[in-house]
Amino acid sequence: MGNKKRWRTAMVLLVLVAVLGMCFSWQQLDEPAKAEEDLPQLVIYSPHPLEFTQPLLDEFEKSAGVRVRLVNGGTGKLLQRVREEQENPQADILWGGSVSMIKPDAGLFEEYESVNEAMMRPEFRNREGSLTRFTDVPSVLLVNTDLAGDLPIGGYADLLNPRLRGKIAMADPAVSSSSYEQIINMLYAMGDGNPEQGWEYIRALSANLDGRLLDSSADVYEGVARGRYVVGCTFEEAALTYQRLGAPVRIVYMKEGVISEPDGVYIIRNAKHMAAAKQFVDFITGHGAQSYIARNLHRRSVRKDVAAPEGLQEKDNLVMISADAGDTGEIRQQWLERFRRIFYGTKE
Amino acid sequence: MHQFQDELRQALWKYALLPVLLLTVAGLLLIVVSWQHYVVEDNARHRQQLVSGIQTVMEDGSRRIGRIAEQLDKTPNSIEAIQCDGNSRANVMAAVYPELDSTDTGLGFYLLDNQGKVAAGSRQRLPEGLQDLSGEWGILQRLSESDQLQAELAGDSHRSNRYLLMGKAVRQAGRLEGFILLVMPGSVLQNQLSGGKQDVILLDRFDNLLFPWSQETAEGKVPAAFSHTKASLVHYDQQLFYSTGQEIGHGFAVLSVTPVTNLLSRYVLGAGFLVALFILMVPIIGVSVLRESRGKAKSIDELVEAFAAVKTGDWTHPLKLQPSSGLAVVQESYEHMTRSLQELMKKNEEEAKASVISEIRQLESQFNPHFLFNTLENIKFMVKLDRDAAIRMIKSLSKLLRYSIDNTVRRVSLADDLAYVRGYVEIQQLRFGSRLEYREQIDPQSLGCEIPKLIFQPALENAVKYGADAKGKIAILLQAEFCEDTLQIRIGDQGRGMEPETFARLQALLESEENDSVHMGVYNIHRRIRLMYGKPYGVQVKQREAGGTEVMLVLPILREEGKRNAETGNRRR
Repeated sequence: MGNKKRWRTAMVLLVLVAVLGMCFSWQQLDEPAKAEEDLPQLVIYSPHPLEFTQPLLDEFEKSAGVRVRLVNGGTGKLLQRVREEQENPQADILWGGSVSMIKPDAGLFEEYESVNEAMMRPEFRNREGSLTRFTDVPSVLLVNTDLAGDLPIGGYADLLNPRLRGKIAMADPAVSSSSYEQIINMLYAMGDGNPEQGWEYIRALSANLDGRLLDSSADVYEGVARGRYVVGCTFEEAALTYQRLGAPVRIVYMKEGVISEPDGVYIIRNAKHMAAAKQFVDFITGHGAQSYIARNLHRRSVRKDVAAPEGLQEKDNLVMISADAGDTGEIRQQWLERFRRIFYGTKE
Repeated sequence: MHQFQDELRQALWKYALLPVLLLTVAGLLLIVVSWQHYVVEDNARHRQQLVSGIQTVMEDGSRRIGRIAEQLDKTPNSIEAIQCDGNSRANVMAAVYPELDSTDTGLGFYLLDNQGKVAAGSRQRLPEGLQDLSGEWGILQRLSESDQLQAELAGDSHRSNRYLLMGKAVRQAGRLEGFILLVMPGSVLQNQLSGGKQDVILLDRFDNLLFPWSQETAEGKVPAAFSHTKASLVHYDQQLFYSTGQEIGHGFAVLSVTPVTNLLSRYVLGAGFLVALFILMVPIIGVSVLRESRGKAKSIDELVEAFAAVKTGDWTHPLKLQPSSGLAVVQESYEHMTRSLQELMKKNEEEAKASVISEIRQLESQFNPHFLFNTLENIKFMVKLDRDAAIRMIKSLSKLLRYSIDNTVRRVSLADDLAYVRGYVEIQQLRFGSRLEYREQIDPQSLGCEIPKLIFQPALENAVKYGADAKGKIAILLQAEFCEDTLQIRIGDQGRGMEPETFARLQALLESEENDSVHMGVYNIHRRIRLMYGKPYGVQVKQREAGGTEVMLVLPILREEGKRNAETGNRRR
C-alpha cells in the first residue's frame, strides 16, 4: 500500500499547488486597501457649481493639508439631508445657500466665529453665531441684449410688459434659493417696504410668466444666455459669469430696489471633522480666498478690504433695500404657499 | 471475498479521476498565470512607464531649478534688475537660457517677482488657469513659506488644462525676491503614455488628477474606492478594476487601473466550466468504475467460487465467465480438469462397484453344500421308503437350485422369495417329519418389498441345524414387518442357543467390517446387506431369555416398482 500512499501524497500536493497559486494571486490583491487615513478629511455639501468650488477647494486642500470630499446638490435637498443626519452627521460643512434660507434651520449648525469676523462688512456680520457669510449675492435681472431690442427693461415694473409674456425666465422659489430671494426682493421693492402690498405685483407677474416655472436657477441664466428667454430673474454671480464669457447679456439692477442676500458657509452641528471645518471657514473668509472669488469667480466679497469684482457697479451706486422678514421658517412656508396658489391659480 | 473488486475499483478511480483532477488544476493554474500575465504585469508595466516619465521630468526640473537658482544667486537683486535694466536682464538671462534650452516640449519656465508677476519666462504670461497666483494664493503661497523645492498639481476647473508645477523661492539676504516656476502641462505627459487596456493616472495626495480620467468623480477626484499604494480589486460603478498604485514623492502617486470585469467574468465562466466538468465527470466515472470493476471481478469471484466448490467435492459447479473477460483459457482448463476428474472418479466408482458385485456374487453362491449333501442322503433313503416323497423332494430341490443359480435375478419380492424358501422348508419337513414345526407371521404389506434373493435362507438353515430343543423338536418362527422405516425379518427358534463363546465371536464378527475369517452363514447375510445397502442395515443376533436364538435382518423398504406394481395392480383388479 506504499504505492497508494504515494498517490495520495501526489494528489494532495497537486491540489495544494493549485490552491497556493490562487492564494498567491489573491493575496497580492487582498491587502487591506487602507487609503492614507493620516490626512484629515472634510466633507462638504455644496450647491455651488464645480467651476466655483474646484479652484477654492484645490487651494484649501494644499494650504491646509486636508482632503476634501464634495457632495453637490440643490440647497433644499442638501439642507434636508443635514436635517435627516442630525444624529449622525455625514458632512461637516454646508457651503452655500442664502442666509435667509438657512436661518430657519440655524439650530442645525455649530456656533463659530471665524478669525476674519472683524474684517467683515457690518451688514455681513455673523449675528446669529452659526451663520458665517462668505459672499454677497445681489438679485439682478439678466437681459438678452439680442432679444430685448428697444424694450425698456430697467426694473420689476418692466416685466409686466405684455410683450414679455412667456419670455421671462424664473425658477420655482421652492427649489431655488435665488428665486426665493427674487420673491422677497419683489415683495419689498414693489410693496414699498411692506411685503403685503407686493403680492399684487406677484399676481401680475405670474400672469405674465404664462405658466412657465423652471426647475433650477441654472435654467434661468442659461435660458437667457442661449436666447430661450428675453429676461431672467437671477443673481449677480451667474449673470456676471455669462457676461464675462461674452454671452449677449446685460445685468440690470432693479431701479425699484435691490436686496443683496449673502451666501453663507455653515458648520454642521457635531461635525466629525470639526477642526478642519473651522479651518475651512477661516480659509474661505480670508483675504486670499475672498480676493480670488472677487477676481475670478464673479462674486462680491463680504470683506471690507476686498473690492467689488471688476466691471460691477459699487453697491453705493445702486438702490439698495433691506428685508426684515421672510427669513423665518413660518413666513417662508407661508410665502411659498401663497406664491404657489397665485401661480397655479392664474394658470388654471 | 470482494477484495479483488475493491482493489480494482480503487485503481480505476485513481486512473480515471487523476486526469480530471489534473485538467481542473491545470485550468485553474492557467487562469492564475493568465491573470498574472495579462493583468498584473501589464498593469505594472504601464504604471512604471508613467512613473519613470514623471520622475525624469521632476529630476530634470529640480536640477534645472537648482542651477538657475545658482545663476541668480550670483547677481544681486537679479529679478528686480531684469525688470528695470536691459543690460542686467541680458546678463542674467544669458546665464539662465542654457538651462531652459529644453528638449521637453511643453515644459514652461517662468521667473516671477515677489508679487507673482512674470519677470521673464517662456511666455509673457502664465498659462490659462494659473494667472491668479500671488503670495497668498496658489503654489507661490507655499513657496514663500519654504526654502524647499515644491511640486504640486494646479489648473482651472476645466481639467483639460491641468499642470504639474515645480517651483522654488528666490531669496537674497533672507528677503523674498521672487520665484522660479516650471510648468508641465498634463496633456504633454498624457500624450507620452502609449495606449493600453489600462488607465494610468497621476494624482496628488488629495486625490486630484493631473489629466482627465474616465472614472473620475463629478468633483474631479479619483473615487475613494481606488487605493493609492496597494494592489486591489476595486468595485466601482458596477465594474471591477484591478488597481495598483505607487508613490513617487512630493505627495504624488501614480495609479494604474485595469478594467477586469470582462476578463474576470470569463475566468469565472472558465472555472465554472471546469468545476461543472469535474462534478459531471465524478459520478460518470463512479458509475463506470463500479460497472467495470464488478464485471471484471465477477469473473474472478466466479473462478474463486468454482474452485471453492471443487475443494468441498462439488465437481459439477458450473463456471460461466464473461466471454470478453479474457479468461476463456482458464474456463476451458477448468472444464477440462473437472471433466477428467469426474471421469476418473466415475471409473474408480465403477471399479469399486464391480468388486462389491463380485463379492456379493461370491457370497450368494455360498449355498450350503451340507444342505445338498443331507438332502441327497435323505432322497437316497426316501427312494426306498417313500418314492413319492422322494420325487417331491427332488422336484423341490431342483426348483430351489434353479432359483439359486439364476444369476439374472438378484432382487426379488419378499412374496416370491418366500415361495422358494417354503420349498426349502418342505424338503426339511420331509426330512425331519413332525419334529420340525415351521410358522410364518408376515405383514401382508411387506410382501411387495424387494429383498436380495435368498437373503434369509442361511439363517433358516442355521435355525434348522442348531434350533432343536432338548427333546429334539425344532420350532421355527419367521416374522416380517415394518419397523419405522425399515423392513425387519426375524427368524427365531426355540433351541438351546449358541455357546456363549460362539455368540461372542459372532457378535464381534458382526461389529467388524472384515470378511477374512471363517465364513459363517449369518455373517454372510450381514455382509451382503451391508454391501448392497450400506451402514445402518445389517443383521442382529439375539439370545432370547426363554431360550432360542433370534436372527433379525434389517433391510430398507424398497417397493418393487414398474412391472411388479402393475402386476399387483392387475391382480387386485
